[in-house]
Amino acid sequence: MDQSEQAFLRSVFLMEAWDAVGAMEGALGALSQAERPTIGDDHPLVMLSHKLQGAAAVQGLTDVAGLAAALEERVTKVVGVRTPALAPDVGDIVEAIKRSLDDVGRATSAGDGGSRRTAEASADDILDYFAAEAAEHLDTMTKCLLALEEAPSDGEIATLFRAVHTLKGAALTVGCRSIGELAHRIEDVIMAVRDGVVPLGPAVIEAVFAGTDALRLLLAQPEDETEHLATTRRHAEHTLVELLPATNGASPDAVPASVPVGETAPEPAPPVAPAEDVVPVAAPVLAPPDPARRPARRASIRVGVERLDSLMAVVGELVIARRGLEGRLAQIDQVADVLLASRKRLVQAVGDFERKYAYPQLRKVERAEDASSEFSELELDRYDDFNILARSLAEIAADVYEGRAELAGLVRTVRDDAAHIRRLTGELRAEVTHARMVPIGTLFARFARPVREAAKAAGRHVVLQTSGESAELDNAIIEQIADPMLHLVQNAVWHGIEPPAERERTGKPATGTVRLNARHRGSFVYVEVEDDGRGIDVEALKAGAVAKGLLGADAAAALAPEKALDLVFLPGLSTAGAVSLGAGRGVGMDVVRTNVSRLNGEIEVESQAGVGTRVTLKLPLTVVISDALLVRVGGETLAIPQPAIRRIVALREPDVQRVGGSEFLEVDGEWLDFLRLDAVLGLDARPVGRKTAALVLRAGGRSLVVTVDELLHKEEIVIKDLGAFLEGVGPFSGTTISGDGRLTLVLDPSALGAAARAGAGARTPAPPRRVEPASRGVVLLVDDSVSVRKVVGGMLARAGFTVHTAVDGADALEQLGERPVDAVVTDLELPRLNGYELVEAIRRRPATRALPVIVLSSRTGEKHVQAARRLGVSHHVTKPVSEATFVRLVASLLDAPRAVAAGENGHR
Amino acid sequence: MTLPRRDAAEARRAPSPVRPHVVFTSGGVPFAFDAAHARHVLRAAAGDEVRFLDQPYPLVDVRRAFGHPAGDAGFVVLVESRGRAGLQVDELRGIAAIDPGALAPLPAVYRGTERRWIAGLHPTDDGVTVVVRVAELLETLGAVP
Repeated sequence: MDQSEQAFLRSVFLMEAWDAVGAMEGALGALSQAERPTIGDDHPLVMLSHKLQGAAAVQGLTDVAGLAAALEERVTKVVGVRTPALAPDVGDIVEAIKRSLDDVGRATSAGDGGSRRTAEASADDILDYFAAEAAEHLDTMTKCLLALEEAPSDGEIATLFRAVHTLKGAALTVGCRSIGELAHRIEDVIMAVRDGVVPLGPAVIEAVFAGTDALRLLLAQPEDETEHLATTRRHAEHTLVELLPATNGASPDAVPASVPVGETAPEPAPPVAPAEDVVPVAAPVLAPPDPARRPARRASIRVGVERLDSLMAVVGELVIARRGLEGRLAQIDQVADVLLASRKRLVQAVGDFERKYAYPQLRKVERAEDASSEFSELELDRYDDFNILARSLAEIAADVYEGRAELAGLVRTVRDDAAHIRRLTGELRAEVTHARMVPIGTLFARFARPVREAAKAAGRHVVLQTSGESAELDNAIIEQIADPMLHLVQNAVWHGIEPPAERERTGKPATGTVRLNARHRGSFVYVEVEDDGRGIDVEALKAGAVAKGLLGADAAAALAPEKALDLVFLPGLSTAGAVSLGAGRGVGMDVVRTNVSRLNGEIEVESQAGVGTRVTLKLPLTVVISDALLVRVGGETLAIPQPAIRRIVALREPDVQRVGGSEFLEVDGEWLDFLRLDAVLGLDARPVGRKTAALVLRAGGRSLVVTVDELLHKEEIVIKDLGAFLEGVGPFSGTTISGDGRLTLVLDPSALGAAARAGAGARTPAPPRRVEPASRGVVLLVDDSVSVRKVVGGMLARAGFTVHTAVDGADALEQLGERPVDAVVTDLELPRLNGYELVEAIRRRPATRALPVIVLSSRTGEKHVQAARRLGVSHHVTKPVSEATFVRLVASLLDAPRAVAAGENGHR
Repeated sequence: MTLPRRDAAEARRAPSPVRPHVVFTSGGVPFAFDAAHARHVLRAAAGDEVRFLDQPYPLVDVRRAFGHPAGDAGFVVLVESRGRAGLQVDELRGIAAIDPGALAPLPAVYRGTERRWIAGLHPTDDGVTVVVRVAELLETLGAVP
């Protein structure tokens, strides 16, 4: 067994041992407070000391085992003894066990395995911080180069030099030698430019740009330099070195000497080949690093010390508030003691009274002995037992009243404390949210280079202007809008800005402008991508939509220009007549809108022919915390992000219109898809006739109506990512934890909208027809297990089939009535309608009678197979399946195209 | 070395409900199971099974079983319950103290066989850990003789 495994097992032991010690201390405390303590064979102290002794012995920890044995011996001595007196050193033994466990813990973490892991972890942390810092320096370098390209400036050269110099030092310090060395080459060139040795010209700018590109690639894969990357780096180094005069060639000794003051001096860099020794290499094509090969790296952001101080201040206040609350608990304990004492007095008074009056004989004797009987009532005030009881009860009542009043006061104070803590946790949440915020300028800076490259490739003169860079957004949002923004920016250059000659002909300056602007408004940031180009040709858009069958000619003619602009978001439709590969990064405007909608944002396009186009993204400040409406659907509580809720409408069932297999509801004169959430999510359907609520949701640039059983309340939720665990389960973006510890899934209206669109497809006359990608055929996969749906669905999708999934037989039948399907793959054991019933129903319907059906089940008995055969099942396949065989089987069934049309519309 | 076996009755009598759980990831999702079922940890291995103390442990590709995209496993965790198996997992995150009685139930939208082998969900600071029942998982995966 190697050391890491040993450490793993030791950590398991330590975890259990500390659990046991904690429980022992609890048991000792309970014993000391018990009125009549007893220790039986199964007392926790007996069990735990024995268990700890055994576990420690197995681990070879003789000290701990010996101490646990000593404890067990002392405890077992008093087993069964009434009011046992534990040996006085029991507490000391428990303390000694804790000290020994501490020693074991320290020894474990100091071992090779532990220290190695710690070192690895800290190295990862350092690389994370370095990556964030290096990205900033590279952005600065790009900005300086673009400025220098426009006009040489000593200030820009100095800034560029500082950036590359610091980057080099940091890279060498954290051990990223190849980054450090390449930065060193750039630094040599910039230094030569600064000193007037090398003139600043296009060759220098290009070479340094190539160097920064290579640095970015290296930064993405600092630990795993591929051959392609190594070639790119060598080429960049070679280009840079060639710019330098021979005497100023690469000097390896300069590397450590130029580490910024105050930083740890790195190890000397290995010798770098001088200029004349560098073998010229062909310029490689710069390719983005392969994400699959990229080492997993946690995203990191830099947080200012002031912000951390604010966080700590709130944490400090929380600690104080917690102490205050603990003080209140002590006060409540005291009041409880007072009430307990009052109860005892009450029991005593009533007991005395009862004793006297329940036994009259005894009372007579007592009265006979009463010495005061020789006085008349006028001579001596007499307090008989009733007077005494009444007085005692009055006193006790007064004490109880006082206790209750004190308790009520404390409850009020605790409520105030709770409100205070709630406020503090709110502040803490806000601070953490702020800590995740980064200025959008960091994103804008990334587009300077692509604009330059795109303009060069497209033969345009373009200047990029930015404003509102200080507007802050959640880092997660920044990363998610980077690609869509890049697409918009490149679109603006390729399709928006006209060639210089054309611009001059129309009286515009030869150089076009692309503007990026950001501004805060409420809890949203509006980001604009604007150009002063030719604008979008609305008529060409309409014609394109009609030509592709996405829109009828009449509908196109009736479409108002501002509505027609929305056509740019249809899949497969270009924003310009001249579609160029230059702007195509595999992301269309439909994908841009989907990505924005996924963030609960919105996108809007405005355009004027000959004047320009503006695309505005409305983005929430953060995706981690959101206001949400909690709703009940089919017995489940779901959270719906508030920004996605357009309005809540009263629902009258008769208003819902059914067309084909779909339902629609008219809201504000517009017919919207109407979805019953319980059915969509496969949850228990609400009882018929029960009142429901309907919500109009924004879902990926369109609206749809969903019904829920009950509207609960609004809540600020913290969204937690469930990652792949949510895939295939339904239209959810994450989960949140409710006050009672339950998980509440967060609905993703965009995904719901996409599902509705997919379902709507051919059945609705009004919405544009969905365009199916080229496919080997459409397979409906029916299984109640999400795992099977994902695994088998993945196999088929990889093989080029379009896969739709259904969660049970009823769902499958419903889908068969709505969309064309070429084959069905179904499990036998399914909720609502089982596999046999499904096949029976398929064979009954004329439209689906000939549909090939494959049963995929773990039921392999002859009886099951025969029953399926009798119903006309094409093949019976046993789970689990071999991917190649299964795909071959499905393909063979679809060779002769046999499609089933939607509903009663006949064959496809 | 084998992990100390936990007597079921003893476990029931233990006063603390919190149990050490082995936490691993598959397809980026953190999963956990009671450490009492863990027998050994190995670096990822190729083949259909591994042998440990003369016992065969059929290898189970957890990514595939859980329906995650294919990927390279980093470790094999040998587990025993009613059957035994070597779970091929991406990454071992270590041990976490989890109270099985305080798990959040699986939302009703999960309706497949996963309901059998998922004991519940354990919220953490940065997400949610899916706690699995090893016996039921092995049974579902056919690793129970």
